[in-house]
Amino acid sequence: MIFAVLSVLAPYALAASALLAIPIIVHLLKPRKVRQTPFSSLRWLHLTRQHLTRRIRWHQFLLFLLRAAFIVLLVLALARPIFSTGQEGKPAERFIVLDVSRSMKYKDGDRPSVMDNARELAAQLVRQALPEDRTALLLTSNRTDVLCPLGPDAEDCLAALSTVRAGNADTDLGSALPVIRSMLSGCRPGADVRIAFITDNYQRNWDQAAIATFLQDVPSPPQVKIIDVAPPHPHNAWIAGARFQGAADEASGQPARIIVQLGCSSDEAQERTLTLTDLSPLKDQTRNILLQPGRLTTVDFEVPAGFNVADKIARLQLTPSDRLPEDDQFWLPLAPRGTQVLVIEPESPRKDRYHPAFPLRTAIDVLGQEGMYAWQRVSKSHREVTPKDVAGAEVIVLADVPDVSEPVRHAIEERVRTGGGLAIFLGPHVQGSFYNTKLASALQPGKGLLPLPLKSAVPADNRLAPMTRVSWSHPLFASMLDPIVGDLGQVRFRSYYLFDDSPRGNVLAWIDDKSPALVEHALEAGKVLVVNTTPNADWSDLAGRASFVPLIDRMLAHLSGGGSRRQFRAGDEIALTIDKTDDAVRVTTPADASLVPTLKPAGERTMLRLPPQDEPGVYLVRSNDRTRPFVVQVGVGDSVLAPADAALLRQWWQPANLEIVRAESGSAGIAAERLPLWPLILAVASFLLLTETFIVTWLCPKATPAVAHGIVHRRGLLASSPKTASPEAR
Amino acid sequence: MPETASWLGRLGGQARGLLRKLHRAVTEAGGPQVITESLSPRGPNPYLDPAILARVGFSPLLAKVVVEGFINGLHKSPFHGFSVEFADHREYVAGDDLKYLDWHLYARTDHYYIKRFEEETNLRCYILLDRSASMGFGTGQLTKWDYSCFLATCLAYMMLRQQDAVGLSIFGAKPGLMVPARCRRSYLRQLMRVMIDNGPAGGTDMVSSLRGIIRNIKRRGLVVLISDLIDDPEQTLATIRLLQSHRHDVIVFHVNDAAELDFPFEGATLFRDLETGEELEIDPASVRDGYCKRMQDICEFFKKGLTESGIDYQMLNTRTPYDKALAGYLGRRARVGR
Repeated sequence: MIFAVLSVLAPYALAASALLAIPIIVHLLKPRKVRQTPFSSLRWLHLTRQHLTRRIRWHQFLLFLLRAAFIVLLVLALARPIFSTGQEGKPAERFIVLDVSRSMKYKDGDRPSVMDNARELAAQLVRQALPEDRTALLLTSNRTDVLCPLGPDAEDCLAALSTVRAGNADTDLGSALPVIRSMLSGCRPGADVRIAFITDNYQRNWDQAAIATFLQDVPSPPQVKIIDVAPPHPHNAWIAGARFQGAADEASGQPARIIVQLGCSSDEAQERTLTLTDLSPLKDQTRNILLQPGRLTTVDFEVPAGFNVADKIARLQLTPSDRLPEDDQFWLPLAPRGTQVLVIEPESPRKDRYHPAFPLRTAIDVLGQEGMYAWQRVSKSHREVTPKDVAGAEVIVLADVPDVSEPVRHAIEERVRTGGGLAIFLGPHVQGSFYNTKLASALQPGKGLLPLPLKSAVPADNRLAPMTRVSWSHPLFASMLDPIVGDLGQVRFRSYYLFDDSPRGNVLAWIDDKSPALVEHALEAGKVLVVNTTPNADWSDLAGRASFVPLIDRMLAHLSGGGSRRQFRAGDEIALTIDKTDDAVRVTTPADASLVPTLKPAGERTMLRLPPQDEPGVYLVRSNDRTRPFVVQVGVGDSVLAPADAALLRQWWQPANLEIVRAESGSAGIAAERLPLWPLILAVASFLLLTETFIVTWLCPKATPAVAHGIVHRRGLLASSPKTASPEAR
Repeated sequence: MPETASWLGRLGGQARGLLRKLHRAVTEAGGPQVITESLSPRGPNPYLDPAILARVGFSPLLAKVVVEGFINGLHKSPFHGFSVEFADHREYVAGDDLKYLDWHLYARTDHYYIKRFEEETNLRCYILLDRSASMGFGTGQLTKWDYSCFLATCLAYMMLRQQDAVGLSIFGAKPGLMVPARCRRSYLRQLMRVMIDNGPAGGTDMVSSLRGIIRNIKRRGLVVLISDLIDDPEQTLATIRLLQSHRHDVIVFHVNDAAELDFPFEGATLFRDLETGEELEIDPASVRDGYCKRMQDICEFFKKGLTESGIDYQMLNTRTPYDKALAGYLGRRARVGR
């Protein structure tokens, strides 16, 4: 509903209305200079008194009105009144979320980039704040930074806003919602909450789970506006991922392979060239490929047997570059062997496919093909596993185990803290007391392997519980919306664990909105992923889904990023372990800049930490005359330029009032129209001043010559004019 | 005879001194620019200008000078020879009128003697002088009261000079003090003392005052009313006519200040009524036209109403030379004498 509001930008200037006392004192309160004189008799003067009084009042009152109106208008102009339409008359708490992810770099020829348009719109929104509004400005990519906290002076941040550039991280607009929720605690009661997202509004920008959580937490549904700044027909091609598969038996002479997956978003197929470089002394290899929109294209490169891949990083380049060039290159660290995955299983008399960990084993094994390796699985029962097994693994999987020995538990914790990954599958074999006392930390929930204590295992209520509020933008679920392998959302749960407290980690999916299904938790350099179901079909049908194997693959890749794979996403915090050293450690960026990392002893190794890095490429860690590389890749989530479904977004945002507008629709569709009134008021005030001068210098001499002469003489106006010369001069 | 001569001599000496004083006042009246004009007179007879006379001061001698000057200025005056009867001679002094020189006695004695006459008293004159507070108003060098007093003095002198009996009645809100008519030259000083001792004060009630005076005047005579006539015009006119109806000859001198007629005030002014103390704040410029028109109407009303009744009406303002008033009196006096 459109409202018209008249408000002032500088209400303190209204205090200057005290100047109104000047004409009041001059005209009404000041004792008039009246000459007193005796007269013989007033008998004959009484007859003309009424007529006389009217003439004096007319003259004085007109001048008083003119002067008072002039001062009032002057004060009003100083207060900078504006006339606004399109917003309700209530004060508003405005949150402007500006997308600064990589996809905002999209630039079509000589036109301004999407980021430039978004920045301009954000500035426009900030300026359109009404006097009683408070505005916060948030910058969001895969995490959210507060550029301007909630306050009435957001315009002070415009200078900082002009320097904002899009980064290389993926978009996660849902990451802004917890920040907004925390800022809502300082909101004024009765004020409207308005959230404006300035984004290219692709489907992967949104996180249903974050939206649902936010809407559950806020006291009243906010007004949400999505300002879509996406280009009309975007197209992009990108390297979705690459994997090095070495031969399981080097003596076989079988060449290793580099498998590259490429994606394409456009209206038509694209011809590109993929080049493999930086594998000296091997020659560069080139493939001409035809990329089909909406489908992954796989390209293989062979690496000769016997080629030493230690500390080698292959570079893949897609040419020619397109309008999002950052995802046209990829750096692939080559590992001499597959990533070691330790699966700790419960003891079971059944060794066949009915073993509880059988689907998990199978999934990991099939990820290698025909003698190639991707993951090197080692399976041990929880009774057999030793700390040594744990220390040699990059990723540890607790597959519905009841407990582990204390040395093993300690080894697992140490391995995770130093960059390893841990996946915990819950199930009927789990002993809650062990998990709650040994894996979870009651005093410091964020410091334990288990981010939240278990309560009890419960069956679903009379039906299979669905998986809800999935964070599809998380890399763990990349391409899980694919029509072929995208059945993750159809997983149904028969039983699951309830947790004692609200989850402290990042909940990636829920079971029927009642209990977390997937919880991600960072523990120093490592990551922990809690899966609230069994790795087989006992508690859910996840293991039987087509998406199970890709999910395990991404899960292992995600958990091993800080390990031997040494790959990080742009915008992520860097945490990895290096050999113990007393020398200075220096990190060189792809642009040859030096970074000073934070080092912390971690057992026999040293923990290296760096703040989030946005520059993709190969980083070199130099210590003890040894150089070890790690890679920062751009997120590929922003490469998929698929517009968000407006109907789906509205459904996710219910019951909030969601409005989606295109930036091309003009400012009228984005925010209120503001008409500054002070120029008009100043013009009227000037007219009044001219009128007053006209009356004093022209009209007054005719009405009351003596008074007019006095006024003109004191003012010095037109003193040389014979008409207005003082009586003495005449 | 010697006493008379010495008295006349002293009076003559004083008169000459007064004339010199008056002459200086005339020559200095206009400031420096008047001097450069070589003492040119400011009118037919500068000695009758009230402003100049006010500088000199109010005295019986001044009245004499004024009246004598006025009489001397009347060429071919029709008023010569009123009830003249030879009384005695006195020695001629410079300034005496040569027409009263006794040439026969000069032929006999070779000395100049002036003939003096004993004039007959053939009329009773009553001067009714308004002493209300409004008479104290004046914007020039003299108020209406000053002007009226001097006019009354001159008239009294002239009456006494013509052997008429002069009485004085000062009235305001009430009939006031009544001085009976007498025909003694020394009576002039007594009349003046009465005027000096009874300054303007109080309000005006023409009707009751004049009615009271009428009851006290037993013999018919010439009644000279000097007033600003600030009262109800209709009733005032009726009361004056009542004088006429009592077989009195009536002359009305309507005395105004020039400011009352022109209303020259400027700027917001708080006027205070001299009689009632009432105050009124007005812008004079905005009421000037209406006020002046109303004053003209009032004067016209009195002039028409009195003239129709056979009453002489003379409107004066405080800048009007006294000869106008004296001429008016003499004209009426002549008609009464015939």
